Amino acid sequence: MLKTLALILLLSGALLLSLLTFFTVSNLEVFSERRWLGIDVRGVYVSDKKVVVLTDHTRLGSLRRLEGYAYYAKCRLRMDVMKVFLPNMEVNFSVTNITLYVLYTKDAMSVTKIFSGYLSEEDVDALLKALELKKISETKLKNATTRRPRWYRYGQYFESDMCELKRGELSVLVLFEGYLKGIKYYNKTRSRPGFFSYIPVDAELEIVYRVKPTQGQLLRALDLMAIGGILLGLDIYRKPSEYREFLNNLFKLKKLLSRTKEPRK
Amino acid sequence: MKGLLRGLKKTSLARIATYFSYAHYRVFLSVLTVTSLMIFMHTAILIFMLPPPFSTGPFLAPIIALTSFFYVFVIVYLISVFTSELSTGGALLFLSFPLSRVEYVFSWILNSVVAPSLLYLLSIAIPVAVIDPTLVLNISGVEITLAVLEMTAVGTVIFLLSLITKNRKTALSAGILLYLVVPYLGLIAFSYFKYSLKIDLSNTPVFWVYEALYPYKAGLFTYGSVSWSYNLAFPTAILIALILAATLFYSKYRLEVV
Repeated sequence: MLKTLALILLLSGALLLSLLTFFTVSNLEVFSERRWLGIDVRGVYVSDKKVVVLTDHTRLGSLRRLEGYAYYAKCRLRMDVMKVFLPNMEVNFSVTNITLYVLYTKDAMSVTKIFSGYLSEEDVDALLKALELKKISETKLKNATTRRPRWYRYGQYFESDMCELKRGELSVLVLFEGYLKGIKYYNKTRSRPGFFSYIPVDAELEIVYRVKPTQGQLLRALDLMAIGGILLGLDIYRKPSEYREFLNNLFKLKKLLSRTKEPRK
Repeated sequence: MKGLLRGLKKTSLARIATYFSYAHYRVFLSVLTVTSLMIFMHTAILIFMLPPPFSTGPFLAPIIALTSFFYVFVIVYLISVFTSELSTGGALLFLSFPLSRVEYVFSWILNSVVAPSLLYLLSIAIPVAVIDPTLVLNISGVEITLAVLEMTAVGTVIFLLSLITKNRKTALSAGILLYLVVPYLGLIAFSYFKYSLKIDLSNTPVFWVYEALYPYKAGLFTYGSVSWSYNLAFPTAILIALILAATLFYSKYRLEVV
């Protein structure tokens, strides 16, 4: 049983050490998952030049971050028409900036609660400051229409870089900035009270995991190997007869190797 | 019971250890190969497929569901080796030496049920502990404990059945039935009773037995109705102790080796 235990410790230590060492030199994405983002409009600012649209936050849940793992979020977004539909008007605008913010859920809730409905210019400045202050990370989405996937046949396609996620209850929200192209007013009365509006986009968030092994992990794997080695040594010392054949072969190999090393006369 | 304990006290641990290492040595290569494969699978799955960072439920369920499904065959195989030794007369040879039936059976319980379960525990606990030791203390520790206890509990039941029947086929069929068929059929039956016949069996002795025999599956599949904690382990530990006592009692007073 000691031999089994020793070999298992030795093998598992070696396996873990080799895999973790491989990850220290590679930057491989080990896994990813995708989620659709709900893009409901929470706050909007429309002037005769500028349009700013703040979407509602999407909860990602509680991130449990393991030792040596790094998590990143990457956003993809498609816009068929660059419009935002408000209760009594349809605002046509041209996008200049789309930013994805990662925040703790409680911060995202407070931001979307404070800056909801029609915003003023001061509100927009305060919103940008608040986001800057509360964000965990942010990333700008770049126009990647030329590289859009085959299934997105129409519209503009945007992609972001990776932004890192931290441990905790996380949410993301998107901020659109652009310049006004036109407003179409409706003559209908509002069917529902409150601020109901939306922006017609498909947004998808990809969460990518990467392994960046820590020194602790590598040392733990090395410890296992060392314990396995010591136990195996003890077993060899205790019952040398069981290993005699193996040791004989080892000595033969050693002899053979030393013979090949001798210079030819 | 007192007699049995007295008998156990008298038994020499050295004899049990000697026979256990002999019996283990016979199956050393197969056990080592399968356990190494398990370690490789656990490590690879843990690094490449897990962890889902936003999930709150049982964390190791996909790993344990997959690997325990294969690993139980090792226990069934080892019990069948023991049964074939009993039925073909190989046991007579060892029992003619100063080795009592209790010592012989106890060594085989260690060899065929306890040791593989502990090796499975090691094969999953080592990668988890190296990657993040805090996981072992959280929900993953409960998961691993319950999975290993479930393996041991069912293993002891199969061992007792095989000991009574002394038939290798019984060991194999009981192994497949108790490890792979009954737990899932049981779940289907419970849900059928609950949702179609409107009979809730969750507070009846039938479910208690199921919960004691399959604590991991009870915790996993009835997630929410059964609290996912170490409390689930106590009935199983008691069940294992009872079955072990019954096995040793049978081997001391009823076992006939021909």
